[in-house]
Amino acid sequence: MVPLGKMRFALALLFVVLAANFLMAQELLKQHVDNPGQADKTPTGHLPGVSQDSIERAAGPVGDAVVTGNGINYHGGPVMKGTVNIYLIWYGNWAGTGSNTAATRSLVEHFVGTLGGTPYEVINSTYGDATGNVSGNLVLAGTTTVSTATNLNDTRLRTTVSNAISSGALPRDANGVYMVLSSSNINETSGFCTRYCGFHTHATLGGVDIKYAFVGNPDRCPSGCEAQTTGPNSPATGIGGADGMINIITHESEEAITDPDLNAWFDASGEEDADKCNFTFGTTSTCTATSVCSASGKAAAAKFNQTFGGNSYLLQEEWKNAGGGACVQHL
Amino acid sequence: MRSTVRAFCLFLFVLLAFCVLSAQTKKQPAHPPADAPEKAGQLEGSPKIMTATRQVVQFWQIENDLARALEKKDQAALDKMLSEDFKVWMPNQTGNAIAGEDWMKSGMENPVPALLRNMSAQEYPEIMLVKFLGLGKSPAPGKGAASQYFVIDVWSRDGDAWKLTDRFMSRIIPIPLPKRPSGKE
Repeated sequence: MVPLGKMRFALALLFVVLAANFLMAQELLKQHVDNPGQADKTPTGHLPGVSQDSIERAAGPVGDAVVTGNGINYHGGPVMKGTVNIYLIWYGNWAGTGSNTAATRSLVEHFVGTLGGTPYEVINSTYGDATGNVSGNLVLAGTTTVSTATNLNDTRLRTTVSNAISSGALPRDANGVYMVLSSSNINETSGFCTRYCGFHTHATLGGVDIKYAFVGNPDRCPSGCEAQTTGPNSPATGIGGADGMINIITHESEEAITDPDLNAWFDASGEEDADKCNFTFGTTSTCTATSVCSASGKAAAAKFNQTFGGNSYLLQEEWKNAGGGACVQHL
Repeated sequence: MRSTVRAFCLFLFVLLAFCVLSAQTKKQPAHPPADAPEKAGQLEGSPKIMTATRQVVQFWQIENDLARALEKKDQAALDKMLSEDFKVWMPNQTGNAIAGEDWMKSGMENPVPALLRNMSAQEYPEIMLVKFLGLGKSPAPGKGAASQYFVIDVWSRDGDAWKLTDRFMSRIIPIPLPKRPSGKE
């Protein structure tokens, strides 16, 4: 005969074990739902003609914060919410000439530091996932330098990001976007200047889903990646690299935030929000004597369409996920 | 009653074992281990979302217009896009080019519009070198997959327009994986 107390104890133990088992199963299920692309094919959408190792996408749940029917579709993955941290990795020789200078670094860092919360950046807040919307806030959270003359490829790019984190130069941040900015003497051999001006992707580094991007100095190929060879912030005529990089940075950061794991927001052609407005600038103004432009920008009558943080910029429009969808300069 | 307790204990042991296995499964990373050394080139062509260059944006449109004109046999449109000495280079035994006129009369397959991908465009003085992958027409259901082509087009500047002077086109033949030995050979 088993005492009643022992039997109760055994039943309680059984209940605890079953509960633990149930919780573990829930955790496994959550991981799968959060990372559908990892279990299946990882989607790779983007501009037609450039992309596509696969056009298969995993369908996902549409949550309360997801608005659809505006020319861009939600595929179940997360967006980056709250204040997004931007980290800049200056790769190559940024103590050189032309646009490979400290002045460019200073301008780009100032730009990133003042971009968050602007009417332009808030366009991104029209995107969300099942738990909330993008905030439109971002900050420059750190910078580091990799002085080298070695060209990049996709493997070396990832290693560069990984090294910056593992060395402690930058924190390991799941809510960050790490941007590798290369000087114009550096090539990214997977297609910089012939296929693309920049790109974004993600990888698990140190157990954390790290979002990162490549942005090359477009003075390497002005006709391919610059809207104008002399921009509103050019230090001299024909030195448009800083303005060109700033435009590409907006493109990559917008997309990294709304489609960080390549399984959230893109349209039927694989185009993400910024792809849909690539090199589309809308109404522009011309640098004149009274404009917030450099002397060279004024002399060249450079175009701009945004002014904030004490500078003027020519930034591509972004796709608004509201009101039927459109390329806009602000909400 | 003792046997009931034993059965209960056995049941409990199985449950515990299952819990341990579940925990082990959870620990397996979905991606390669953190900061693991990578094989060279492992990430070449890995998924990434690219910002196309202005030339790719421009020639994506031009190449699609050309594919559409070829599909519809729109001679007026083709005359605008093809140079007079346009020729096609394909893998063959003679190594000779095929004159554009002969090529179009032959009814050879061309990449169909809207299915061009992996495009790059490299600009040289007066020349634009455009490379892409394209798919042929989809066969009827159950008749296999569409042919895939690797294409390099040489466009020459003609005033404000571009004319195609040479097309290098090669059909991509999938290489079948070798059969695993069964041990009975």
